[in-house]
Amino acid sequence: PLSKPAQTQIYQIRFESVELFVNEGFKLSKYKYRNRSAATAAEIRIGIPASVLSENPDFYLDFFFRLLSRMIHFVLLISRQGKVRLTKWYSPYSQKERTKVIRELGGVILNRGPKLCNFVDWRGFKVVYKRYASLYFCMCIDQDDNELEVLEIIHHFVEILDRYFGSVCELDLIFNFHKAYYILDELLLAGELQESSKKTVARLIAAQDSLVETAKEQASSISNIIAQATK
Amino acid sequence: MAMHGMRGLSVFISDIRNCQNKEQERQRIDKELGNVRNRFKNEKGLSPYEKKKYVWKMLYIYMLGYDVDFGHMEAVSLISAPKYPEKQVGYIVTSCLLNENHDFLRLAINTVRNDIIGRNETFQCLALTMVGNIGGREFAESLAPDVQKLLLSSSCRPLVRKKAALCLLRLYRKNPDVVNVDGWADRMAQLLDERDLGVLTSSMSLLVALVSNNHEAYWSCLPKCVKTLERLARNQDIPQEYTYYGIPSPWLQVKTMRALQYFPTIEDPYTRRTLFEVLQRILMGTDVVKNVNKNNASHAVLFEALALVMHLDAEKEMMSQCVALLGKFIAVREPNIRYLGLENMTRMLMVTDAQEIIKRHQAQIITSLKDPDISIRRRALDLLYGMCDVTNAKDIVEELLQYLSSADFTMREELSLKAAILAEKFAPDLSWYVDVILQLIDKAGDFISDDIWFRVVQFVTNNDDLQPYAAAKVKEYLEKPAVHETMVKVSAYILGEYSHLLARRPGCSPKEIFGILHEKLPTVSTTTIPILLSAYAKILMHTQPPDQELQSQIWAIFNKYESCIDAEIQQRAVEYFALCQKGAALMDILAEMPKFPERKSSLIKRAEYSEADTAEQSAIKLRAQQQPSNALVVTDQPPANGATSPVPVGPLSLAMVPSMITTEDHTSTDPALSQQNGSLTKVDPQHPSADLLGDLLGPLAIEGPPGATVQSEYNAVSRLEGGPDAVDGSAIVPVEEQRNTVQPIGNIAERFHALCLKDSGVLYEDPYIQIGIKAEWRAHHGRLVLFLGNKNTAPLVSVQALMLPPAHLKMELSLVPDTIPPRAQVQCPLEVVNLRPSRDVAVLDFSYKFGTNMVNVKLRLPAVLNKFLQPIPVPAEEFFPQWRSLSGPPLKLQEVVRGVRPMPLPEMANLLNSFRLMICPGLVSPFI
Repeated sequence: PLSKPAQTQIYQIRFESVELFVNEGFKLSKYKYRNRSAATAAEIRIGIPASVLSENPDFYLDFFFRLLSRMIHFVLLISRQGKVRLTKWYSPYSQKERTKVIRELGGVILNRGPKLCNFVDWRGFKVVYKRYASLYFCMCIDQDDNELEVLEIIHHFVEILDRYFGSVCELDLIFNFHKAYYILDELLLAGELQESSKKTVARLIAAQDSLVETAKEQASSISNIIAQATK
Repeated sequence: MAMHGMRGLSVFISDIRNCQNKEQERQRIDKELGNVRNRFKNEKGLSPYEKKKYVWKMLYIYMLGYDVDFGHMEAVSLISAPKYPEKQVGYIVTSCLLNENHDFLRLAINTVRNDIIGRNETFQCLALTMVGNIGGREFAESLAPDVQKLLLSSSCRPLVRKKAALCLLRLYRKNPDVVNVDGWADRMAQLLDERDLGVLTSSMSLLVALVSNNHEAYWSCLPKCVKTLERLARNQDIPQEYTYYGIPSPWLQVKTMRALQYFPTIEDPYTRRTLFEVLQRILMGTDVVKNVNKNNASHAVLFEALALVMHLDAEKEMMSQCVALLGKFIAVREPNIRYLGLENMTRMLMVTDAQEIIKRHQAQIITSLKDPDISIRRRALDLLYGMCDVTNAKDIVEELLQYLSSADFTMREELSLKAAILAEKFAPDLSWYVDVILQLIDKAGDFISDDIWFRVVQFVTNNDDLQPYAAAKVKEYLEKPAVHETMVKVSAYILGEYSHLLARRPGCSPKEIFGILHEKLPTVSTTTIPILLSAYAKILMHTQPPDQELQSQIWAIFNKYESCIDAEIQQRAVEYFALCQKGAALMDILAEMPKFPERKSSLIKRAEYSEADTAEQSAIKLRAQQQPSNALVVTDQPPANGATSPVPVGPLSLAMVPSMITTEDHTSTDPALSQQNGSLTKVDPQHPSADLLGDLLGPLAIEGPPGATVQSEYNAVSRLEGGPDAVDGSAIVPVEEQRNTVQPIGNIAERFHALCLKDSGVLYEDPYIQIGIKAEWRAHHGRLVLFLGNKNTAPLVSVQALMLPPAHLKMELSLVPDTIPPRAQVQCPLEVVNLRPSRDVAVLDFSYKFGTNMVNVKLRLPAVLNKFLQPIPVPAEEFFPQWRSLSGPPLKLQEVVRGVRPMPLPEMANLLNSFRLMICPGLVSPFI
């Protein structure tokens, strides 16, 4: 594609080391430079038809940043039956993409046999997953991220859930899915690990719970007072 | 633990779980959505509790995969509620439902900002969390200064500051300008002195993002990172709660080493020595232990340390320690470690001197190519590709070829491309190279692009010693029963040029060679026929003494094609026929092709310029840059008569036959174009299968509670069919009786007819299995893939598929596994070659066993006559002349179909098109 420079526009985005190559009639694709050192710079090129880019620049810029940042792109909990139990997207995915990702990954991961490794290559990314009883916990990361680290984030999450629910099972997560979201928000933020102490997370969640309880009591006592007063 | 439950929500969730099928679920959900919509409309009567409940219900429905296209405003509006419980729900649901580009988010910026700068710590946390998870560029611009203030504030507690650090990271990713480099570097360094490990972990993530973009501003952070790492690795003064299975926060260790990898080097000798001591300790002190989590955590640290050592280009001793460790890893039983061992060994290849040591592990790596896990096989392929050089190319390529026959469909293209590149780059001798490419064409012809066989022709032409060998070799391949069209092309070219060198061998007389080639003519497409015609002309020219019989045979063929519709074929036939009359002059005109000028392989060029989809491909590029092609410069004789002949454009542009150049344009060696084709074919095979699988999973996912056993699933099915009694009855009925109790879903005949008109769809479905089909037709070839999807949570056993092809079709079905695992889908490619037109239909005899049910069906396959038709666009004025030149009656066939509803013309045209018949508009028939 670079053999026809006349048609190639180069969009330089803020990051100095990164260029966006836009070429008429060239398919969207990417490659990532494996070397992490700044000396060689993380160079990422994306070929996008110029016409498409001008129509929808935001989408491609998002896509582009997704490539650039090394992080957890999303968390997905699916049951053995392919039911979604929790999703959390740290990179921008449109509604359509989200559905597609879930469907595709469900197909890939649920079909993997036991005793295989916990990593799958998927569309240039890597998905780290682990099965706990009937649930698959999946996290999507970049090619050269540390897989084992993420695998243990998953386990860390499960241990925190376990501590909170007391031997957690899928039903807990179905009926208290909102709780699972609260807990995840204390554990991960912006696709990064936020807190590695189980005790701290437990303390923060307990504090939230008591805040909600207090508010409830207040509300009921107020309504009591009103009820008393209007008797 | 407080489970302040919401009864309405729980009841709704139970209702959903009790739904028997997808349809019921949808009804229940539609009802609920209607209800929620109504309640939201009359918002005034809604209590905060109710509002919360409905918003949660919406999120639940959304999570199940349904479109929720309303109520976003209600979720966002909860953010501005004064009380914590509502606010919390508002923030969380908004950040789950909405994408950062959603317009409603903009409306919330002010409220969010007020929460961030307000005094309420819990509100600050909620706001920071949402912005950190979905904040976009607008948030970055308006909130970054406030977030920075919180992160640096001494009065804020750690729980706020750690969120502020990661929130700032998100905003920085959205717009790097929000962090002003000048002032920030010092502050960043201060943050690394933080005592609270939660804040420190978050700050380290922020640092990684900052240095990855601009390491120069953050030199002052480097010694602090080393200090942190030292503190952790030596386990100094780390609170107990921050150790994970006895390891001081493995995540912080990994993050810190990641940050260090962005600094090109470490100059300060003291810092460098300290770091190397720590790394040494990690490398040598990590043992394999029984506890899997401890093992994973310690190895996460170890692999990051390996990466850092590689990056710092440590002294040789430490490097060889690393390689030794990796060598150990790729042989362990634990699949994760094996996978990572292979992956990191591939990275290690970039380090000088490591390659020789890695080569010692070649046998082990080749074993991994046969691993049951495709993830591991991929890594092994990458590594083998990366480590290949002249010394081991023969072994590695032969392994790849062997593996090609059994490899997954999804890996074949990559495999054959890699094998072709390696063969070309590192061929120890050219006859081996020819062998490899011919084998590749034989085993995976579809993935061998034209430039690969052009290259073979080029080498054979340029090397006199190679010519008889190559000619004998291709003849062997041609004698096989099923031959790929690319093989016909390359064989025709080589036999045309060089078969006379074999003339004395048994079975290689011109007549016999012609016979072998001509046998293929009816099976090839119009792009190959010209090459065959050239070959005939050359064979005829080389026949000494002239053979009258052969001559008349070949002349007859030229005669026949003189009226061919395809201009290229027609021109050649006419020209060759005319040339043949010239006698001796023929010798000059059809003389052997001159040597090609030496040029760079287009394949390798393509690899270099490719901006392909995977990191593996960038490895190709790296490889190409690292080792300039050397093996193929074996042919360094100067072009024999290059000075007199015009410089050929491509390998195939015969200097003497100008019309050849048009073919050249068709097949195109333009790297951009072929690249595009390449990436397209890469995507295609995956999409349909994923979709089909999605269809499979979709309706089934709701049957049975989670953790349903085989039995309950089975019961569920029988309950649907025959009421509760059927469950008990089924166990008693003898097996034979069950044979045809399984009813197909949908009409089999209708499905078949539909598939005659389109190329993908469902061929057969019953409660247990779905058979999908996807077909590609090219000339007389068809490539079908059967998708056998097990719909159950129990395996289907004794699966058998038998092809019953009619006489005119040659069919080859790849191995169908005996068992289809639960909810799995297997793909079985099926090759079809049409030998002659016929209306007979192929039948697939398919059977399987589920529980006690034996199911056997005979399915007609849509490999019908019209699939092999190829329309040719003909302008109106040329239609009748061509029509008249067609030979053989009947020229006209008329059939009247009665009782059909009238059809508009475009619809009719579409119908005919789907039969692969083309409409030639604007004709007035002279026959009417």
